[in-house]
Amino acid sequence: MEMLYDAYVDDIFRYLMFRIRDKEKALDLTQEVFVRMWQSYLGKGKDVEFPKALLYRIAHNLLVNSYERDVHHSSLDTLSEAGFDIADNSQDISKTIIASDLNQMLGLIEKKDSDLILLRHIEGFSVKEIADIHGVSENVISVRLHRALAQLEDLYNKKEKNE
Amino acid sequence: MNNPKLQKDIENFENAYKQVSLSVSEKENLKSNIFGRITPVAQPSPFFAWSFYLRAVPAALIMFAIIGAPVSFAAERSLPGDVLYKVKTNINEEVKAAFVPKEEKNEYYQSLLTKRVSEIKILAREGEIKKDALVDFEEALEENVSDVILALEVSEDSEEDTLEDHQVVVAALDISEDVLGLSEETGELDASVSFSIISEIETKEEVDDKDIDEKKAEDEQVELVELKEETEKENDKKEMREKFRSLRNVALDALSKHVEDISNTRVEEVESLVDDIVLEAKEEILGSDFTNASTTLDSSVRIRLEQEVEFLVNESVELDSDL
Repeated sequence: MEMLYDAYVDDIFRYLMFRIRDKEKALDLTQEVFVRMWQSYLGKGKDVEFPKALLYRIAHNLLVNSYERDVHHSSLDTLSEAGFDIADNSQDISKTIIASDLNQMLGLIEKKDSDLILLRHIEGFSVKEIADIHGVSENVISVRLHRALAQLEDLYNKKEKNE
Repeated sequence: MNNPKLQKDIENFENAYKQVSLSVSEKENLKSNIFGRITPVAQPSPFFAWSFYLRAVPAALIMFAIIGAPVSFAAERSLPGDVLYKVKTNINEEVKAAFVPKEEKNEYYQSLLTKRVSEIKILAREGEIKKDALVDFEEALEENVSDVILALEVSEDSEEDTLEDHQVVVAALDISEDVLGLSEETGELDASVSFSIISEIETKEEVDDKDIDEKKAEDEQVELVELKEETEKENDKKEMREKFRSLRNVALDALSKHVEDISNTRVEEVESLVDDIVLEAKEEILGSDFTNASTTLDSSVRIRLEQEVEFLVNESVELDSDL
């Protein structure tokens, strides 16, 4: 369990932080993810084949619950206000991310679609792994991902035209 | 993704994203919080895990719980006729079977058959086999044979494998019969010996009535008892032989039913193959120069059909010899 924590705590925190945009909440949920991993699986002696995907799945479920509780969540452009000053060296990084066109564009498409793009193209998960995390079939993910990417590309093309 | 700017943005975003991490102190704090919460997790009691199997093999497991592990361990080395032999065959092996995955059940029951054969071999090597031992052995063997046949019926193995498995059952029965001296040839001899002994006793009994000499009568009596014992033994043997025969018939029935199934499938396979060839030939004939095609195809089709027929004949010969 300790090895699992050391290996994936940053990944899980990042995943939650980029979606919930509140450092304190992200920290709380990160803690909850590992506690649930132990209580529901490892502590019961269950064999977990892909622990990383399972941690993300738990995180995803917690996020969905948290969205339902808190409908008025902020968009990515308010990350700095929400305390996006993680490690000392992260200040510049967070600014880079906030200022990027991609961040702005992701804020314009549907939340679950931007989530898929982040998982696939930023976090590098396979379609199958994303399907596991979201608890739906690979086909559904492929279709949604294709649609989300087309939407994003469309936004980029429009922006370029205007410029 | 065709837009080059989007591609570049994704790359930059990815690089920046992956550098976002928690500080060392934050990680340590979080870690102590998590591990403070997770350590006192109640483990399910081992008996709870057993409760599932209690439903599967109730009698066996309750006996196991009452008698306890040391007895069941000691029973492992018991032989037919021993007090603990029934613990071994009815409890230990049944409990083990409950833990064997479905697809390995058939293999497990076959290993029990092999075990039975080696048990009776050990007994035969030690000397005379007592009646109790024979009864125990016969019961255990009968149980195992029906288990294997049942497992083979639900097995999803290939037909050839199942056929081999059926043969293993018959072979185990044959070996056991040999070891016990119950095989067909000696059986007939035994029967004639037994008959002669019985008639001898009958005449002796008649003679006995008329004999006045007590000493002589006593001698005769001793001889008579010995002869009676021998006859009883022979009768037991006869009984066992009959049981073996019926058991063997059950196994052979299952085997022949299986062989029949396989031959039916083979015939169907060959028939559909012949259909395919004819269809292929028709297509080629209709699609090309008729006269040329018909002569070349006639010979090629004939050769293939001949090969198929030969294959079919060989298969049935093999199947017959298997039976």
